[in-house]
Amino acid sequence: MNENRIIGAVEIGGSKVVVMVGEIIDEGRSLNIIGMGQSTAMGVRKGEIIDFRAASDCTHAAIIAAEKNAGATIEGVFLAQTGRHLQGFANKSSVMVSSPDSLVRQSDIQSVIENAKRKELPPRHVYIHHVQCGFQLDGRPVKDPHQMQGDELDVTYWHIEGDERKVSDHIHVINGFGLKVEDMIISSIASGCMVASEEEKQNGVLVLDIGCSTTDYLLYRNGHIVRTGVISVGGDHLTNDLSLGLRVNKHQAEKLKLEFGKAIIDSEDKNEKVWLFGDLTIGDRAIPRLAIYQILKARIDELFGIVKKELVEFLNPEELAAGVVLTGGVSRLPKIADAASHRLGVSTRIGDNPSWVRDDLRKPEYSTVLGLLYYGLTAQNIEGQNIKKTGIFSKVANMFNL
Amino acid sequence: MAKKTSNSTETRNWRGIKQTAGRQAVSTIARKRKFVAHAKMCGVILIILLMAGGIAYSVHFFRSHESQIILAGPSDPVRRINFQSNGELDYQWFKHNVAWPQDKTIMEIDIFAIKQMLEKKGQIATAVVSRKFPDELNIEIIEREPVLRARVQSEKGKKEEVYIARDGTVYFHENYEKTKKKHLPYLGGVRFKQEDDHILALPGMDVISQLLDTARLNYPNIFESWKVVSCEEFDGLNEFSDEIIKIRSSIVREIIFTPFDFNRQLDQLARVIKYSERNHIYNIKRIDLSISDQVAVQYYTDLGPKKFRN
Repeated sequence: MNENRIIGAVEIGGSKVVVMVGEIIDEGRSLNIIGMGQSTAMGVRKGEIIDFRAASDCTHAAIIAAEKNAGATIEGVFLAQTGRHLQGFANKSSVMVSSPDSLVRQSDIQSVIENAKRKELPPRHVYIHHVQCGFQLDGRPVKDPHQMQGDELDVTYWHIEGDERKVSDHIHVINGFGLKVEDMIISSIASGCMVASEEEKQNGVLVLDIGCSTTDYLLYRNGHIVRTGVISVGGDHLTNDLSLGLRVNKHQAEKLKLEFGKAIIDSEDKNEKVWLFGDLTIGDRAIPRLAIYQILKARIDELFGIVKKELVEFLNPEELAAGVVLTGGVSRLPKIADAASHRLGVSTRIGDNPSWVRDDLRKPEYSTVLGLLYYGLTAQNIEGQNIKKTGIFSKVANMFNL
Repeated sequence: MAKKTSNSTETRNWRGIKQTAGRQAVSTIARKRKFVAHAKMCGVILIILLMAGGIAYSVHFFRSHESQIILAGPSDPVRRINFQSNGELDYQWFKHNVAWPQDKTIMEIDIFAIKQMLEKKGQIATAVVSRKFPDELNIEIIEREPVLRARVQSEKGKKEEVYIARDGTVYFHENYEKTKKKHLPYLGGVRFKQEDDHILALPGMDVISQLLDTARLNYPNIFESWKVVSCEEFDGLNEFSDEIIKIRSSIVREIIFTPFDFNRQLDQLARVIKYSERNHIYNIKRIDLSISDQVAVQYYTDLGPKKFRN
């Protein structure tokens, strides 16, 4: 039976809402990206909804645009989640192998997993993900301990939890459009799976998704996610500092950042000036490039300083053999990889989205939605998650594209 | 049943958040989209209901009209035969001369076989046999009209009269009243050929019929005097040959026609006969009308009145 399924990936970001529509074909084995819609984000600050009505309007407008572009109706949504309220913590659990012959049974594995996940959260907090960081059998890392011999089985989980009210705000925005959230993935995991290769994940890599208002990070070691986090600093802070430092409005500051911005200062930049408008109208004035670069460099240094402070134990070439991968809109700032490399002390590159996406979707700001679609595709093959509507009215509605 | 504890991971997962949107959460765009979707759904349901209603009505219509269809009982025997003919044949003739299977039911009777049986009779040109349910058989006959008669000798040596139709069919009479056919001229000068149990049709009878019909219609007195039509020198097969048709009448012993333009020839004949009668000439032996616009008249000579009787 060949039933295609239309899913939507929604990222409610600080500057814009991006919705990408994918068609899952070949019984869940392949995915076609068939449409995209965007709108300017409103009512959202640092990844959190502060004006529900405004956030709903802009999100729904983006979904409508994406559906129109795709010529299809979205059946389920994969939603990106970010914000400072998202916290991560590791929890390790151990069990003694119960069988007399010391062979690990499925019941042992199940038991250790349940113990690792059973960690009480503060009131009004909910788990977003339980990310398995790998098993250890008598201290040695194993991929699948089933039927292996040992006495003590350990498993470590990286748990990501968030404020229930803030998470439900995001969900209810989607519900307000008449759609259900099928899965929620934090932005760093979604973008990380797109820009980091399997080899990099195995060798250890830090993915930094620098968005408009937040920076999401994700650390891979031995192919497992071991650390995630959100820093409340993003591209908006660069714009704000430029606006204050150069005494221009935010719109002009954003323009200067995009046209002339650079993350490091070169010696030849010291005497150059740029024009604010470039048309000699009233208010147009020359601004030294050095001033722009100094402001941007200070903020970028501060951002990477925070990252370094949070991940100080991992930021060395031994732990991060594959270095740092930058993605998100701010990663397009010239020389930002050099600045990161200099500040973090590990090699840094700008992440590329996979080659199988269209050229215009390979920009780093689309890493998150592409990652959501990727998770949407893989979720189709997970047993027990088949949420395809099977009722007769749903089938009739599908036939008529309702 | 134990109540779930507050630290259960199941209840603390984001999936535990109820995914419902209050009225306030629905934006204008979403509300409009929902309305359109509902309108479409209602439209589809309406179409489906209309289609279902149409099908149901059709089924009801056909079922309610089924009772008006009369089905003949398959085992009804034939109780009545409606026999119609444009000629001499009647039901009595049919009853005694056609061996139709009376013991069979109306559906078992092979009406095509009856039709063939009837049309085998030379006197019958066409027969239409049909069933009239529940228990009647309709038979409509169109008979051949004879234009000539002839006498033939049967295998037993007995002389019998046969009739010749316009299409040349030669047949024995069935149910004819001989008085009605007494005025028909005899045909002479032909050799009848028999095949199986019937005599083969004669060629050229359509031309002879044309001559006889023209005479009967325009000159009935002359036609009544005609006794024998001789086809000794006419076979009707060669359209442009110099064939002639000879007629022996009670007035003239031999009248010779060519097989073309009978109106002209009959007109000439009528004038000659009229002239002869007016002048009391009764000894005409032969009138030859086959010589283009001339007429050759031959008289008996030196004979007493008894000698030139025709």
